[in-house]
Amino acid sequence: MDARNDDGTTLELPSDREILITRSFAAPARLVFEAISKPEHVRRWWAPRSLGVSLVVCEIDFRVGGRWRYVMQRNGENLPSFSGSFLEIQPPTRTVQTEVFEPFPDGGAQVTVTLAEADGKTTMSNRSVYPSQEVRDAVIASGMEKGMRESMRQLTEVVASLA
Amino acid sequence: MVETFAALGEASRLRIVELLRAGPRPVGEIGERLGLRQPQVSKHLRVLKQAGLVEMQPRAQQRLYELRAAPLRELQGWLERYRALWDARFVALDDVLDELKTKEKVAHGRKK
Repeated sequence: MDARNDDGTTLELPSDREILITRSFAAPARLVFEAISKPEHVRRWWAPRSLGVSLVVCEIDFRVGGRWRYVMQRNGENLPSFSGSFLEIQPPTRTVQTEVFEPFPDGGAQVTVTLAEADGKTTMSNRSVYPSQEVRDAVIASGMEKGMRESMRQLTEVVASLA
Repeated sequence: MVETFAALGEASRLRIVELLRAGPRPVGEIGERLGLRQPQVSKHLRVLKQAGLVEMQPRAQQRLYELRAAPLRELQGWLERYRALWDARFVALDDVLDELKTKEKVAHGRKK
């Protein structure tokens, strides 16, 4: 895993229940839109090989009401899935979709992706609003290395004990 | 980490942490600045102390509460790793986009 400092990927937590990720791409919005909505492309970037993960399930029924489902694998072990359905599709500038993280089947997030093109470059912003801070934090923990996944289990237990 | 998030997940406690970033303060002053009654402040400080976010230092007649950086740094690291996951995704997405651009150019060239 190489450490890049010039990447320009920003992560913000605008509120207790939100994650906002922003990044600029050297491509027009229509190509970015294609790359984030077609499974043959998503397969190649959503589970980065540089982090030792692969995408073993990538299903996208790209229409309003259609469902999507992704499963990552690390060291031969499937990680909890992310899935949901599309609420809004406005090519090539905006999609709104629900996202359910498997450990929290009752707590769906709403994810709004917007693409803004200027001078041939496209800025993507990905705003996720989670039903609770616990779910948001568990999602943050889902991308973590082994030790961090332990935290996620603990979070799952904490949430279970609150229910 | 769970404890840090839980401790910071309450508005008054987050405000206490923000206030203490400027330096250690006694309970009374924290209450005054944030418009909270002393028992409330003490209760919040207890939670923050349990999470390792603040430390009490006796100084002369006063008990000063001071922020501890370690858990906040840990939280920062946790977020940084999540950011790095997305960054790794986007580096891979850059490659996909390069390919799509090339394909488009080739297709455009053929049309001519």
